[in-house]
Amino acid sequence: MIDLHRQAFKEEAYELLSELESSLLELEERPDDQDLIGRVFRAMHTIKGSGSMFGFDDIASFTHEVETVFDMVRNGKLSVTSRLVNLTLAARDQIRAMLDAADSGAATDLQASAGIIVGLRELAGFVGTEGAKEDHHEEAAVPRRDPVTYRIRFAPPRDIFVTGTNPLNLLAEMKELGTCTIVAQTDGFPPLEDMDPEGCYVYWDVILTTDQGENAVRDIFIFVEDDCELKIDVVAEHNRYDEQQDYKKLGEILLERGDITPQEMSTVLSRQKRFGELAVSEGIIPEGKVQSALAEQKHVKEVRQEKQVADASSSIRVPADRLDLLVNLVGEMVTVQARLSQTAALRDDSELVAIAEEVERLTAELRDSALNIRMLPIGSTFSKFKRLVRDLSVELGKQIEMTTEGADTELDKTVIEKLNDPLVHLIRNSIDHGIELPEVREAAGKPARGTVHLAAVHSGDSVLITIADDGAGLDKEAIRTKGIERGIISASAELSEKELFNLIFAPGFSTAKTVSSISGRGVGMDVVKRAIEALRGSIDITSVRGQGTRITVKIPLTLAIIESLLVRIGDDSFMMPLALVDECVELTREDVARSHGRNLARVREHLVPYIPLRQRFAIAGAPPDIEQIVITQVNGVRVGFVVDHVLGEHQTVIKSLGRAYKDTEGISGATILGDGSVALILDIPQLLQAVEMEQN
Amino acid sequence: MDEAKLERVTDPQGGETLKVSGGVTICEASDFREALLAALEAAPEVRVDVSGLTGMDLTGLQLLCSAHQSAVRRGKSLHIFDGGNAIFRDTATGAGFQRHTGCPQDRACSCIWVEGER
Repeated sequence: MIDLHRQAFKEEAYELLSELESSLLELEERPDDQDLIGRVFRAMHTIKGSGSMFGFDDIASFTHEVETVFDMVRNGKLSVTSRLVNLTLAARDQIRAMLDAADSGAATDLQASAGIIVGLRELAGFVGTEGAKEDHHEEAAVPRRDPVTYRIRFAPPRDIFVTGTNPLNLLAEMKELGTCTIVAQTDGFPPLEDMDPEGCYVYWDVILTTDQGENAVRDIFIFVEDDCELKIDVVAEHNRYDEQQDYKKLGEILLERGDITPQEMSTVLSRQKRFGELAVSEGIIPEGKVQSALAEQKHVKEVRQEKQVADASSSIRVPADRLDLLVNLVGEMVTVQARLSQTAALRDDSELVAIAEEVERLTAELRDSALNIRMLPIGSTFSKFKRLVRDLSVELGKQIEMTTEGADTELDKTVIEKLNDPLVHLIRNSIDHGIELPEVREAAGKPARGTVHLAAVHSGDSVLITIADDGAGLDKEAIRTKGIERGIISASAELSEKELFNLIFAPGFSTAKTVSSISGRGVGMDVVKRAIEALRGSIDITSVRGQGTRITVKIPLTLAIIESLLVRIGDDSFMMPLALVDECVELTREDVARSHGRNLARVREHLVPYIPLRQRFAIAGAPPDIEQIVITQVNGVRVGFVVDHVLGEHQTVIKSLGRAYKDTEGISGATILGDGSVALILDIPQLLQAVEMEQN
Repeated sequence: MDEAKLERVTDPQGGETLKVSGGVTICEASDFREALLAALEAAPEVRVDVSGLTGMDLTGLQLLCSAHQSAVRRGKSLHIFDGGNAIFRDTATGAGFQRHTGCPQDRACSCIWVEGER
C-alpha cells in the first residue's frame, strides 16, 4: 500500500518537475510575472509537502530551501535573476535525481545538493539584509493568492456622524475588496422618543471574502479605528481541502462570535427536538416513514459527496497498460464486428443486417474514443526540448532561441514516446551543425541570435513535425565529397539535390569535422531515419545554403490502426499500407514475356521495377493469367509489388506478431479479417531494402 | 440633494401617511424624528411613503427602523411604501439593513426591511 502511494507521489512529482522546468524557463523571459512565480512556488510547496508525507525526507528538506527562496520572491523581497533561475533549474534536476535514486537505492550526490543550497542561501541572505529595511506595506501591495473570509464587527462611536465620517462609505470600500455580505445590527436602538437623531446606534457584521489580506481591511478603518469597536476574525481560508463540506452550523457561528454562551446554547438545544421525533410524537406519521425519509436524506448526501469528489477531479490517472488492453479489446471487437457484418450480408436477413449496422456504428465510435484516450498533446515533449536548447546553447557559446507552434497537436502516446529520441537528435544536429556562432552569424549579416523553430500540425491521418533552423544550411559539396569518401556513392554519380540530402541518412555518415559531445556520438542520422520509419513515418529534408535547414517528419496519428490495401496471393491475404500505394496496374503474361525476366513494367512510358511477391514468399501454385502490380512510392522511388488479386481498401487494427516471428523480414504485423482468417501486413520499405541488398 | 419635504396626509379611512421626499440627511434628522413621532401619536396605522426620496443617509434609516420598533411596542403598525424607489432600496441594501427575518421586537413579522414586505 505504502509503495503504491510512493509510486503515485513519484508520478506526481515528475509531472510537477517538468511543469516547474517550463515555468522557470518562461520566468527567465518574464521575470516579473507574478503568476509564474506563484506556479514555481506552488510546485515546490507540493513536492515538499507530499514528499515528507510519503517518507522522502531528503527531498522534502532540500525542496524546503528552494521554496523558502521563492517565498521571498513571491513577497517581492527578492527579484528573479538568471542566477536564481540557474540555481533553481539545478535544484530541479537534483530533486529529479533524488527521485530516481529513491527506487534504486543509489546514493544521491549530497555534495551537489549542498552546493545548490549554499548558492540559494547566499542569494537569499544577500538580499535578506537589504530586504529587512522594507516595511510591511511592501508585503501588502502584493496580492495574496488564496482568498480568505473575514468576519468584521464594526461598531462606530455614537458621534461618528458629527465628526464628518459616513460609515456607508467605509462599507462601500469594503465591498470593493471582494465579495461581501453586510448585516446592520439594529438591536441597540432606543425607542424613537429617546433617540438622538444625530447619533449612530447601528453596528455591522460584515462577512468579507478577499485576497487582499487583513491589512487592506484594517486600512479602511484607519481614521476611525481609535474610536470604534473593530474586530476582525478569519473564519475560513479558501485554500483548504475541506471546502466541499457544509459550512458551520448556525449555533457554532453564534458561539464563535460570542453572541451566545455555551450554556445558553445547550439550553436552547436541549429544548429542541428533531423534526422527525416531533412528527412521530405528535402522531402525525409512523416511525417507519421517518426512518425511510432519513435514509433518503442520507443517501442523497452520500451521492452528492461522491459526485463532488468526481467533479473535483476532472481527470484521472490510469496505468498505460490498462489503456493498451482496452485498445486491444476494441481491436478484437472491430474484427468480430466485421465478421458479423459479413455474415449478416451473406444470410440476407434484413433484421440481422440492421443489427449488424448498429453494431458497426457503435464499434466505430468505441474505437475512435478508445484511441482518443491515448492521444496526448505533443507540447510536453516540446517543453522538454526548450531546456535542451537552453543548455546546449550555453555549452556551445551560441545564442539560440527556440520557438514552438502547435504544441496542442495530439498524437498517440506511444508515438510521442518513441518520437522523443529522434527529435532530440534532430534538434541537437540543428544546434550543433546548423546554427553558427554569434560572430559568424553577424559577419553573414544575420542576427546574432539564431532560431530553432519546432512546429507540429495535423495533416490528414498524419502529423507533420517540422524542425527548422536559420543556420548555415547543408553544404552540398561537403556531403558529396563525404559520400564518395565513404563509398556510399560513386565519384561520377549525378545526384539531385534531394538525393544528395538523403545521403545524410545513410549509415555511417557524419559531416562534422570535429566530434563534439553533442552530436557525432556515433549515433548517426540513419538511426533517426530508422526510428521514424519504425513508426511508419517518413523524413524529408530541405535546405538553402546560408539560410537554414528544414526537416519535416511525417508520423501517423496512431500506431493501432492503418488504412491498408487488401491483396491476395494464392490463398493468402496481405495488407499493404495505403499511404505508400500510388496505383495498381495489370500485368499480363505478354508483359512478363516482353521484359525478358528483368522484372520491369512499362507504365505510361516509364519503366517501373517490380518484385513478384509470389516468388519472393515462395507461395506454391501458378499465378493467374492477369496479375496485379501494386505500385508504391518509397523514398521517392516507384516500385511495384506483384500480387494475384487486389481486393480493396481496409481499415486494419494492427496486431503485433508474437516473439517467435519478431524478426520475420518484410512483415510488420498482422490483422484478423472479417472471416476470421489472418492477413499479414507487409513492411514495404524493409522488403525493398532486402531486395536491393541481394542485388548489390 | 433636493430639499427635504415632510408632508402628513390623513386619508378618509383615518390612516396616517407621512410622505417624505427630497433628500433626508442628518440636517433634517431632528425634523424627521418629530414628524414620525407625531404620526405615531395620531393614528394606529402609519404609512411612510418614501417613493419621492432622492437620498437618505444612515440617520434616516435608523429613525425609520426605530420608529417601526416603537410602533410595534405600542401595538401600532408602521409600513413603508417605496413605490419601487431604487435610491431608497439601494441605500438600505448598501447599509446592510435588508434581511430575511425581522428583529426580536418584530413579533408580527412586519419588519420594514424584510424583502417583499414593502
